[in-house]
Amino acid sequence: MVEIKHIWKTYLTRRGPRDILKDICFSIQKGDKLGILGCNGAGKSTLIRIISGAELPTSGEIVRGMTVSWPLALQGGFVGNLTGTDNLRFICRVYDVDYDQAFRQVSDFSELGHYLDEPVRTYSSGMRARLAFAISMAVDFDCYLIDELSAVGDRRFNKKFKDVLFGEKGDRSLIMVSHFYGVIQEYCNKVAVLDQGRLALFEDTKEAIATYDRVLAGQHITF
Amino acid sequence: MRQPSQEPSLRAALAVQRRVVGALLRREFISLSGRTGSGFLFMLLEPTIFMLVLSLLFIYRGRLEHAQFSVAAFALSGYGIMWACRFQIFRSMGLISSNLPLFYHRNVRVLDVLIARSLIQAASVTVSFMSLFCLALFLNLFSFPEEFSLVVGSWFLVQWYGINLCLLTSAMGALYSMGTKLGMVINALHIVITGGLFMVEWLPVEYRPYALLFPMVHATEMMRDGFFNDFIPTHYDVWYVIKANIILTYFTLCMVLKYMKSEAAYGRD
Repeated sequence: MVEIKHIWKTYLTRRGPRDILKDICFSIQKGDKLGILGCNGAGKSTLIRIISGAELPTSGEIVRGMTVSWPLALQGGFVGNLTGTDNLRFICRVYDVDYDQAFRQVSDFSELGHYLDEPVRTYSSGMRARLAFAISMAVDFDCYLIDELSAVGDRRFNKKFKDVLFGEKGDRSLIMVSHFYGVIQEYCNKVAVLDQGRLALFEDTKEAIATYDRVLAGQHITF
Repeated sequence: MRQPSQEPSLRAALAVQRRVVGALLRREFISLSGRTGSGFLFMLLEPTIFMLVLSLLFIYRGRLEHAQFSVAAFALSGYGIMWACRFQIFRSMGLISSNLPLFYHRNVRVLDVLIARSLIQAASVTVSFMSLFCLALFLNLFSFPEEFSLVVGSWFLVQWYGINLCLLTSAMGALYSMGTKLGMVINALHIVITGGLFMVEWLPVEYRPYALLFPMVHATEMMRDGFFNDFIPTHYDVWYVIKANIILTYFTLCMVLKYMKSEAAYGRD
């Protein structure tokens, strides 16, 4: 179980402190798939980074009762001047995973071939995402944090990735954020809407989407 | 995969820390040595050229007033220490910003990256110092130091100082917009304030206390005492260097902590 308790996040801007996240509380059980909808700049990526532990909240607490992945996104997690395999080797050491087995899985899954021996800075963003998701599958977390699933590779790779994530690893928990409800509608059993720093949790997907539509139309929801 | 499921105990946290620093050390080694090890050869090139040029200059100018004064020992000790400090500083520029993506991994923290980098840099300057030392001995540029323990002791104090400089300038560079520029100034200052280009004995008596304000001048004098022993009088105080290093370490850790608590410290691109 992952428990998010009263998370506040304040960033300092030129016009003084600004609350990005206000009193976010929720928890997910093993196997839960939570989708968080929000517009650009709503604080989705910040929330994901805070849940992963890459960033600390201003106040509040996160209890991680299972292994949580790093935020899987287009950027981050790799050093550009190292090759794909060197990055994999580094991540294997950090997370204490057997390298040889992970390498087989990653080269098989990412289909990057000999590009794995090239520096990551030469990768296109699609290749980078493929590497990131392939490595995260090999490390095998209990809970995956995904920033924009639609960002993962082309349609074929995206399908392959979804097949693994929702098939073979279907019992894992998942928190994903998006500004688009396609995937969330399809796979998530819980949906939340993030707006104005506050999070509203819905058990019913339709209701969440209706709320998100209202947010998109410019009507801020009041709690 | 092992990862503490609940709030990690101290021992578990230390185990993670050790693993992360180990992984970082290997990574730094790869990027420093350039995979084939050619990076180390290039590291040797610069101090070798300096030592040779300085030796030639001194030989050209005549043998100074001191008989049997080994210019190579003077150059190796002076430039070795200057270079050990400056290498730590200039390699630390942009160190944090270029490693920001790593902080996406919860277990990789700023201090881990800084420790790994400064240790590997200290190790590499030590290796090149030792290689040059052996080369000079082999070429008979100087005889084996009479007080070798002073050379080793001085080198340890220099590394302690240098590791601090690496942490300090990289944290400063990431924390303040002027930090990197300030780092360059500190880097340039170390050409003079390490005492590589002069011996305190050569300075007029009334200026000596000013030169001895800088801890690395003491360290250089100490190493030269090891090399020259009684040929040239040296002026240094080991305790002064140790005290200065302790103060510097405290100041450095405060700066790193300040950075770790700041908003900039997370893997946000």
